[in-house]
Amino acid sequence: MNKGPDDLQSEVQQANLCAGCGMCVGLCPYIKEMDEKVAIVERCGRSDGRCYRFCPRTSTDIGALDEMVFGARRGDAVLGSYRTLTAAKAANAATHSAGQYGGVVSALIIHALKKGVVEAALLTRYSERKQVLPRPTVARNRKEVLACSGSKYTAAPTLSALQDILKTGEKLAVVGRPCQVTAIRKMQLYDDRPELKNIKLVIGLFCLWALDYRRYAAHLSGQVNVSRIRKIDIPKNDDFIVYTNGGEARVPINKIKEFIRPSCQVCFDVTAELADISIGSTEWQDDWNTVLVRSEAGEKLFADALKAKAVTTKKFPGEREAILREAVGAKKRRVLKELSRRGSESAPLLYLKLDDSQRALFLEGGNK
Amino acid sequence: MLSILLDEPGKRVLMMGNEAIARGAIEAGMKFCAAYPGSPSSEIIGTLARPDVAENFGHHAEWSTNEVVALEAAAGASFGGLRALCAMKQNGINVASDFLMSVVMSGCKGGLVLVVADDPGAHCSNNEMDSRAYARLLDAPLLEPATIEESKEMTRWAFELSEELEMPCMIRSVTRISHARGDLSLGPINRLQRTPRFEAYDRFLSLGTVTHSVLHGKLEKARDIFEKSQFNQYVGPSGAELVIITCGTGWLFSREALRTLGLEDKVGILKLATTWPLPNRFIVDHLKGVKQVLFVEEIDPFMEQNVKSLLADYIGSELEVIKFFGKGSGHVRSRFGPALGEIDPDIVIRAVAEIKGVDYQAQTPEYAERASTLLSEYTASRDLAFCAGCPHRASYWVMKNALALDGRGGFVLGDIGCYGMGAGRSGYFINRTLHCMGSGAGVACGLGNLAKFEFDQPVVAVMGDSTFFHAALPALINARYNGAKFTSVVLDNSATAMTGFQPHPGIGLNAMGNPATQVLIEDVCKGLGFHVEIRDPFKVDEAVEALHDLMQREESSVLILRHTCGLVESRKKKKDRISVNAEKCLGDECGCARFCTRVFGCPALIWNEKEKHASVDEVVCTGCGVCAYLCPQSAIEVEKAEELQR
Repeated sequence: MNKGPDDLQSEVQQANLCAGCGMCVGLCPYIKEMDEKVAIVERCGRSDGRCYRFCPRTSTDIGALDEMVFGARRGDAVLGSYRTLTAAKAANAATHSAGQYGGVVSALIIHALKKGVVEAALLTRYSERKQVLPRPTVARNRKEVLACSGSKYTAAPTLSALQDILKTGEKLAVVGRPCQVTAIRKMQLYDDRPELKNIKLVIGLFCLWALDYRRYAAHLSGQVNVSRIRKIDIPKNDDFIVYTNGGEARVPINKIKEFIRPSCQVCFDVTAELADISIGSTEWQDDWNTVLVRSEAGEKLFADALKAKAVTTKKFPGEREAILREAVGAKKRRVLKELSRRGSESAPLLYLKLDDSQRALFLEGGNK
Repeated sequence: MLSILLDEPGKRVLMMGNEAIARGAIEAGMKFCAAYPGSPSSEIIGTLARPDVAENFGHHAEWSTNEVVALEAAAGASFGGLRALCAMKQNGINVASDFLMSVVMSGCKGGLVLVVADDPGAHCSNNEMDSRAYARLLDAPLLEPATIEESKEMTRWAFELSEELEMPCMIRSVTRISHARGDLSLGPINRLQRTPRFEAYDRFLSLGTVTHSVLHGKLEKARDIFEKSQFNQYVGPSGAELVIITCGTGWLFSREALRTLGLEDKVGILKLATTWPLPNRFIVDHLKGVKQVLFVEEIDPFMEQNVKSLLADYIGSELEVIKFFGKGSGHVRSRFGPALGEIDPDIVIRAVAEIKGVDYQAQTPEYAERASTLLSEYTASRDLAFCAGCPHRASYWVMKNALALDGRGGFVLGDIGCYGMGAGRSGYFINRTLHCMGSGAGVACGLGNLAKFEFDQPVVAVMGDSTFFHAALPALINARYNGAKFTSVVLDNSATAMTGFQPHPGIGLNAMGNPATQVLIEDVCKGLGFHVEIRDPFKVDEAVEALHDLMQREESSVLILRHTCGLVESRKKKKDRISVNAEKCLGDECGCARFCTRVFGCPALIWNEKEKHASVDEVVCTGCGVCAYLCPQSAIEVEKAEELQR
């Protein structure tokens, strides 16, 4: 039995589980978002709502979602279903330098737009008014895509703009955090509106956490004159550095971790396991990305981009894969433990729905 | 030609009560009038400020920023020697009372008349106070016209009385006189040609007990005049056992009651037009031998208690033992009870029938049922709500959203007037206080200054544009001075809308519609040191963000939500056609759940129960289009007026 907005409010919002993905905001005139905080403004009176059903922090049936996206349950408990794991970077120098690491996300979107695989891409870029605040935006050409490049580190509610773009009928690519990819997949699983077929490509970003915008922005504005953020990075020296036109701000990583959204502490998905392609840093070479090609659609696009020389790849070294697996596995074990602690008889892992064999696989996989 | 303009003494014309009061002032040669608009008093100055009227009779008319300024301005003209009129609704006299208490003691020169229109039943007010209590508090002469014709005659007389007594004179009207129409005979127009001058010996000083004693002398003089007034009268048999003592609307209600019950030759009516000070002798003389008295008057038992107090000195000597009936005994009571709501002929009929033991039912339940069924066929059932196209509906939605998104338990302190509806469904129930003009900002000075007691809820104070000038300014200055922290939201619809679209200082037009110095709200606020933002409430998302962001600031700030009143705008231009695309309308489905008709609640939006979609009542719709902006499904479509004309 599905539930409605009252349950969303009590089980997700008030329980500090909201990931700020923006899905419910775009579906409903009563759910609004401001500065990355979602609020239910008015009761709609329904006991059954898509807001609850599509939310990545309500009951999420991993098995069913895997089957929908990949046609089978996963064999890999740590990284999820995937076809290839490679290191890649954008071939075009400008695209590459605009990007966070290897610029592969931008390169793939630009390539997909150029080839007509998609006509529009739902991305995020910094607001004109609030310099630290990323907002959803639609890009339809290379210039617009590059204006969106770079990691934002807060929970941009990208999906709040999804429903309106779907109505345009354009073939669409969406780039999102793991929670957002999950929300899109839940929508595709439970909703049969024809316009959902417009979503041709879902690119997932690796994500360990997002910051609470309000507290983070307040802290930052006390540190530096934030006129325009050029880039944010966490280099190996363990400082969180914000490079802006008005100078740079260095925040010790432990300080920045105080601003992590509580919801991210119970997120078990680091690598956007339900995306067509997942892309993240390498934690090894700053100008390269880690790329997990997962679905058939993802594989087709990536191969095509490689052929068209939009991206270049190299082998992902075995020892780096081991490090990646250890980092992801460690978080999964921690999260599963926390979810068990907070779960109830009817929802043993809170929002995560796993049968016993899958659960065992996760724990076992994480232990390797 | 407007009948108020006619110089044809003796001609019978039909006039509204407030027009009759205005005409009475014209016939008295009044040259200066000032008011702050407020129903049911607005049409008095509204009529006198008409360009044709003001030009023809050569008087000055103004909408002042508030009632005390209006009264002070009128007093100033009187001190110069001109006849001056000030009008206000019952709430207004509270604002004017401080000056009023002094001006009765200082006295005046030219006739100074204050008209206060009360609102029994609170048809257009947030209270139903009886302003007559002020007359007694002030020691001021009080006149209560009973008919439209008397409204004119007594206003004219009030100016003479004021000059004879050298003090202001008060007239009390009520909604059913101010807003009723009746016929009257036009009188000659006094073409007084006085040149105002503040003479060397002129002193208007309120000086404690000295002037208080002068005032008491004037009051006794007023009583002597009232004893002989033709406006006080007795009708009925001599030797009646029961006499109704009444004033104002009660006069015609009582006559109708006695006629209905066939008791005109058995029961007498003593009509008092001068209810403070009472004409003692006149009353006592007409109650000789009377055994029962029934008091009939609007709202408080003001006359009832004063007359009872007077008669205590005569019963057992000149008068027999009298049994009193009225609000005190509970015989005169509306459906809410005695001293609540309006009186009407049925109430008087019931009271007389009960006293006389007559079996008469003014209205049978069957009749009431039939009347109600019949009426429901002709009138749509509607909430008390903001009008269609009202920008305040969008402004309240903006506030509701911003408060929810802020998420710290913020709340709205309200204002009266249109904004009073912010306490109901039309304003999403978000107004949490409702008192008087400007009190939202004043109360915010308290709640916004509790941080040291660990109070952490954001405070939002609402005020109208006219209210801003009327009463909010001192509170805003206080906030700056004493460091109260709150967000003011000025709902600027560029009109004093609820009272009839009178201009105010922010508009750039005066009462007569001529260009006037425009005092911009934003300039005033910036001058006070506030951070000010201006948004259009119909651009909902921008306005929500602006308010939300202002609420995050450390200091008090002001958001002006500016959009012209829908009714003013729809009179100026052809309206766009708004319609619902029934195919697109989601109705009860997830993603809408009837947002426009169930929640947003514009009266022009109708839920089609049979076909399960919204539709637009084109007659009511003003074409503002904000529903099209808000519809989650983009199912509401706008055809621009220009396109429709092609």
